[in-house]
Parts: sequence; C-alpha cells; structure tokens
Amino acid sequence: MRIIPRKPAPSNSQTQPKSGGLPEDPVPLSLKDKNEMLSPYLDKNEDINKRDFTLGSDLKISARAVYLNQVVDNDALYRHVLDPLMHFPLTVQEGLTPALINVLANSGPSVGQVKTAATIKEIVQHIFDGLLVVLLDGYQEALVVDIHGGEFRAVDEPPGERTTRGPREGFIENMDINISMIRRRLRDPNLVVKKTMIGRRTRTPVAYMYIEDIASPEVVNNLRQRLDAIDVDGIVASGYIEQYLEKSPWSFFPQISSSERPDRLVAKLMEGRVVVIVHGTPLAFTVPTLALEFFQASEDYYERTIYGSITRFMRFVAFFLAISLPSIYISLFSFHPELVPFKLLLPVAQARSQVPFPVLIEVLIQEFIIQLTVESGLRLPGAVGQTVGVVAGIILGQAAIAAKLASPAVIIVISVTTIATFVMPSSGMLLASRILRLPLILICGAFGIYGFSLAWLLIVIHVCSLEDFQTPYYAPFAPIHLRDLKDSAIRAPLWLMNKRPQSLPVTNQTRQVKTHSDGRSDQ
Amino acid sequence: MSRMHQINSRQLMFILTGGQVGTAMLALPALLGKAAGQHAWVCILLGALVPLINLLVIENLGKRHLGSNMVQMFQALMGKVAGTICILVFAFYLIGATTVLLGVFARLIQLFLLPKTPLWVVVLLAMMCVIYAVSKGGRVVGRLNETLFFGLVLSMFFIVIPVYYSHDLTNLLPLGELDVGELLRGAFYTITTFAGAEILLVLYSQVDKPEEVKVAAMNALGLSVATYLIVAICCLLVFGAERMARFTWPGVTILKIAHVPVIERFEFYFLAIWVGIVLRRVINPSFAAALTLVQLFNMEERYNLLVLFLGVVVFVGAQFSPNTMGNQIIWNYFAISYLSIGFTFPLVLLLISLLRKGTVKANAKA
Repeated sequence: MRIIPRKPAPSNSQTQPKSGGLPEDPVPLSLKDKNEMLSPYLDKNEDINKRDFTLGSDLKISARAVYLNQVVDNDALYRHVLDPLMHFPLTVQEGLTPALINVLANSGPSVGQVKTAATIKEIVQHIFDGLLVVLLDGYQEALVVDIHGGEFRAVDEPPGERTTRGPREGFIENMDINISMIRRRLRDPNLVVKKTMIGRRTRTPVAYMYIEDIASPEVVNNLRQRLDAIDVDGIVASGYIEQYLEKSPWSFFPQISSSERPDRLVAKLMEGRVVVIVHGTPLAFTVPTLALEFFQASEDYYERTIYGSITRFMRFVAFFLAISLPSIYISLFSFHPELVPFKLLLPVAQARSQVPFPVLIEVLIQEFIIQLTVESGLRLPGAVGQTVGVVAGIILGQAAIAAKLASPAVIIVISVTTIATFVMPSSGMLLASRILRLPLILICGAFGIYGFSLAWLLIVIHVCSLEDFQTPYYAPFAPIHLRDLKDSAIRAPLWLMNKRPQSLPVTNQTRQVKTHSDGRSDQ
Repeated sequence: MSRMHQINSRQLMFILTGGQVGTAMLALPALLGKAAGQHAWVCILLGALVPLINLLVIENLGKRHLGSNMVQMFQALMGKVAGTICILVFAFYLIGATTVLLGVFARLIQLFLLPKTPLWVVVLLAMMCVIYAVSKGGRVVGRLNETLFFGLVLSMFFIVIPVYYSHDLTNLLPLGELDVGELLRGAFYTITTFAGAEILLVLYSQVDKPEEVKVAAMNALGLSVATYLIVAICCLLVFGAERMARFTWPGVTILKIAHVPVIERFEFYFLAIWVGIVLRRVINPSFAAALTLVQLFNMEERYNLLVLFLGVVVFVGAQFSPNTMGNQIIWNYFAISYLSIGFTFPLVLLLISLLRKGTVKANAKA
C-alpha cells in the first residue's frame, strides 16, 4: 500500500465545532504540572505517544512531544521536528524570554504548519485531531506541528462509476487529496474552498467548494448555514451529512447527487453547483440537485453526441421499465388480457395455466427472490457474488419453471426489470426504482391499469413538489426550461451548450461563445 | 402572493388547457356529429368564441386590479356582503363542476377498465391523487400540468394514427350545407367543453408576470381548440358524421381501428395516459376552489385542512353523480352553469369596474 501524506482541516476559531466539554483553562508553566493536568485526558489512551526530550543545544529546556500513534508521520517527527528542536541554537544569554515560543515556531521545526496553543481544550483537541503537540517547561504556550501521515488507500479507478473514455482517477478517503484532484483540473482562482468541522466527537473535516463568480451566493450561504446547524456528536461518512441536508427525508427519491469522480464534479462546479467533500468518504456530493443528474453519466459527455444521446435516452426507458414492467405485466394479464396481442396472449396463457398462483403472487415471489439475490450479490465478495447471481438467475429460474412455480414470461419480466434497474448510473436512483416497484406491483394487482396510471401520477406530483436550494428537483421538465432540454433525455453537441443550465441558480449564465464546427466563433 | 401558489405564464397556459380538456374529448364528437354532422369541427371553432371572450374579459379585469386577488377584487367592486356571496357562489360552482366531472370520470373508468370495482373505490383513489396534488399548492399544480401536457400530446398521437389505417376525406364534405340552428346547437355543447377558462379569475393574481397572461390565455385556448379539432376531425375522417353520432365514446372507439404490429391496439396506452389528462380537469378547478376559499376566509395556514375537507365533499358528491357523460342533461347543466357563473360573473365585474372606477379605488384603499 502506498503511503500518502495527509493534512488535517484547519482548526482556527471559525471552524471549531460546538464545545466538547473540555475546559478552556490555560495550562500551567511547569511541564510537570502540564503533564498532570493533561493526564486525565491522555493517559487512558494507549495509542498516545509521549516523547520527553531536551530542547536547545546550550540552554536546555525540558520538553515533551505528544502525538497519536500512526497518525503523524514518524519520519517528519524525527527529522524535521525533534532533531531541529534538540539542536536549536539556544544560548544562556538569550534566556527564557517570552518571545522564545514564537522564535521556535518560526525557526524550529522545518515543516509546513506550526502554530501555538495555550488552553487545555486547544491542546487536547489538537492531539486528537492528529497533530503533534510539543509542551515546554516554563512556557504556557505549546507548539502545535502539523505532520500528519500514516497510510491511506491509493488513488484508484472509481468502482461505481467506471468509464471507457474518461479519466481513471477516483476519490479516496482523504479530503485534502480529493480537493487537490479537483484543483488540478480546475485551475480557476475563483474556485473557493471553505473548510469546517462537523461532529462534536468525530470532528470530521468537511470542505465545500464553489466557483465564486458562477455559484449563487444564496445557495452557498444556505449550505453554510445548514452545515453549521448540524450539531451531532459524530459524522462517520458523507451520507450522514446528506441526510441532514435533505429537505424531504421521507421521499423515495435521492435529493443529493454524489460522485466518486473528480472530473464529474469539476463539470458540476462549472455549472454553478457547490461541491461538499467529507473526510473519510471516497465520494463528494453536490447541491443543488436535479432529478436529471441521476440519469447523467460522465461518459455521456466524453463520447460522441449520438452515442451519448442514445445511452441517455435508454436510461430513461430503463428507469421506466425498472419501475413499471412487472406492474404492466400484472395489469395486462390480470385485468385486460383483451388488450394483449393474441399471438402473445396464447403462449403466455398456456404457460401460466399450470402455475398455481395468481399473476400478482407469482410476480411477488419472483421479485422477492431477485431482491434477495441482488442484496446477497452486493454484499458478497466479487466472485462469490457472481456465483450467487448465476445460481439464482439460471438454476433457480429453470427450477421454478420446471416445478411449475413460475411461468417463463414472469422470469423474463423480472429479469428484464432487474437488468433495467442496474442501467442507472447512480445508486440513489437505482434504489428508488427498486423500492418504487413494489407499491406499483401491489396497486396494479388491485386496480390494473387504473392503479398504474394513478401511481405514476402520484410519483409525478411528488417529484414536482420536491424543491431545495431554490431549485425545483424536476426541472427542466417542470418547470420547463426549453434551453436545458438540450441536456436532458438526449445530449446535444457540446458546442451548442452556450449557456449554463437555466434550472440552476447561477450568477453567470454564459458558458462559451457560440463556436462553429469549422472553428469559427461568434465572439 | 404566497410563493406556494406562484406560477409562471407558461404554467398558467398549461393549467388553463388542462382545465378545458378532459372527458369531453372522448364524447364530444358524438354529440357534435348528432347536432351538426360533417360540420362538427365548425361548432368547435364557434364554441371557442365564448371562452375567448371570457378570457379576454378576465384578463382585462385582472389588469385593472393588479395586485388584488379574486376575493379582494370581488369585494372591492361589489361590496363586502355581495362580493362574499358571489365568491361563495363561484367557489361552489367550481366544487360542483369538479364533483360532476369526477363522477363522470369514475363511471368511465368503471366502464372501460374496472367494471367490478365499486364506484366509491374508483372515486376514492382518484380523489387521493387530487388531494395530494392540490395540497402541494399552485406551484406544484402548475408543474404537474406542464408534465401532463406531454401526455396530452402523446394521446393525440394515438388518436391520429387510426386515420392512417382508415379514412375517407369525403366524410368532411359537403361543407356548404350549413344550418345555423344545427351549428349553434353544436356550439352550445362545445361551450361546455371549454368550461374551465374561468379559473383564470382565481389564477390571475398568482402569475409572476401579469403582462404575459393574455398571451398565455390565448395560447391555452388555442391548444384546447386544437385538441378538440384533432379529435373531431379524426373521428369524422374515420367514421363519418352518422356513424360517429351512434357511438357514445368515439374518442376511444377510434383506437380500435388501428392494429399496429407488436403493440396491436392503442387503448391500453391511451387509457393509461388519459387518466392523468382527465384528472387535471379535476385537479385544476379543485385547486382554484381551494385557493378562493383560502383567500376568502384568510386561512392560509390551514390550507391543507381545507383541501382535505373539499376532497371529502367532492368524494361524497361524486357518488351521486349522473350516469354518463353522454347524457345531454349533463351537457346542458354544464353549459348553463358555465355561462351563468363562469362567464357572466367576470363580465359583470368588468362592467362594474368600468362604471365605478373612482369608487373602487376608494374601496381598495379602505
């Protein structure tokens, strides 16, 4: 495993989380008293290293370095902090002046960030944030040195959003590396990165990024307020924050879009969205979110227009099938067989005649089996998961038909539905389609095509009602923004997308000057 | 103006179209065929003159009272007591129309899709959707109408396809033999189908750009007229006036003509979309009625409760609705109530507004 140096979020006063119950008393001058005072917070943890040493080559000052094991970079600790401090040219003539601590901070450790801390709260928090704290005898202030290190997963291809033509780089669990991946692609000085910490106990670093002259200030302020309002003891992953931000938590539909790909997020930043990156999660999410985003994939824009448009349109069809196909089958064969073409009706009816269950129960059983298979396949290791899929798909299906527990038509319907479900490029909408399918099956089992229409009407009403960060979720379909339809069910050529999406609140609408295919531009 | 109910002019256009196009598109060709034969489509154009005047009157009225909602307008022009009574009559008219339409819709569903399901179940399911949509406010109703308009376009596509399989252009001829009496009778039926234009009176104050209302209203009427014309002409081309008059629901019967490979018949797809289209016809006046009552009783905070209450009223009322839309009594009832309330009220208000310009301003200030 590659070792990647990591850096913490800044811990200035603006980014401090709500009080964690630590006293804000100043620490005493004597090192012994300091140790005693800090002992209740530090001694109970065996992963906290304490290294006593003597500071200065001539005038000796007793000092103690306190740090978390395997969180700081040991090489930097010895080479760039302890060594320079131990050999610091401190003479007896200079004495123990109050300014010494500043001199040490500026000229002592040869690493990036060095600052001071003077209260118990600050010192303890810095230690647990993964910083190195150097306590000095005779000085109230302690040196705080940022030498984060340790092991992290290397940058790799994102498993959930693979492309054939796009970049192979995906986010990892380190927030700063994720930010740097975006920075490397978007070298705009107007790209603003703001950091904060959420979680009283986890103190999880969270960053939000936006392009200052594109993103709506109202959206940025709204996001900041909502992030600041999260007062919880722990944020383990970005999914926690997404749930705190979602305006309609009981909705079936995901209202915050996330991605593992920095290239995709750069495109979203340039559309005026705000990106939120949470330390410890290999993906970032964006606000405001449109339903349409869950149908878009990076590949749509990297491939030629015609291919991008066809695949995009196919996703919409797949989403409809993923939700509706079993319910349409039930409606037709339970309620309106007269509407089925005769040549199709005959073989299906023949096969169904030996199945002891009504169509609804038959579909429900198969749907239940397939949901179990999908769940087990997702949780099991790759090869085993595939095996389970094959066993369920081929063997179980064949056995069910042979045992006359299911008709071949139902097996086909459920299989096509499952395949259609996984056409979706976003896991959020994928889950929504899996969940929505069941109520549709039940309502169509009771009311046929009438139930089907009403269920879809309810879905449309619900989707129309979703709105957050001044952005209607269902735009550009409702409210209709004709300009944005260029990048909806189809994807128009990039050189036609002169403006940013009208559906999003932005301060700068122009994306490009009109460029012709022969290279001319209407500047 | 509450942001919850704010709509744009495009949404207004779709709401007005949605308020005019419903179950009638299936039944109207039969009535027109009976009344005016091959001139059925001329009746639609003639009938459209009434909603045209209605929309222009309301638009003019709204322009004269910018910033006032319907309740304020009524009370300023007619005085508090008379104004309140008129608003209540208008609201009850909208509720009544909604109730009858829902009842007709439910019976149609029974007829075509669920013959064994009790009426109250069909109505209850539809009402759940209506209540849910209306409770979300004007903005959502506007967006829903935008979305469902695409459904209307698609359903028109289904109605046009059978013409390819079977049509006779001579069914539209001869054109010269016009009987004014027949035409007027047909136009009278057509007026019924355009009832729904009057909800502009309620919605005018909710539009974000009032200067765009006129164009939106005209476009809406144009779309409604085009829809009815397409259905009537397609039915004429396929069936001819005489046969068309014999069917109760020629708008559905025409779908049986086409046998497309694989899909075979369009009814399934058409009816699936049509349910949404028709429910717009119930949702839009329901929303207008709810908004009127909320403004009248100043109960913005209890909007959802009021919507629920109205939903229950409409649900109960729909149980006692008459049997089919083909019944001419229903058409007459609709036409008369629309002409006497939906059409006359705005006209009277405009006249009062013209006559009492100075007094109105004083009332508004008070």
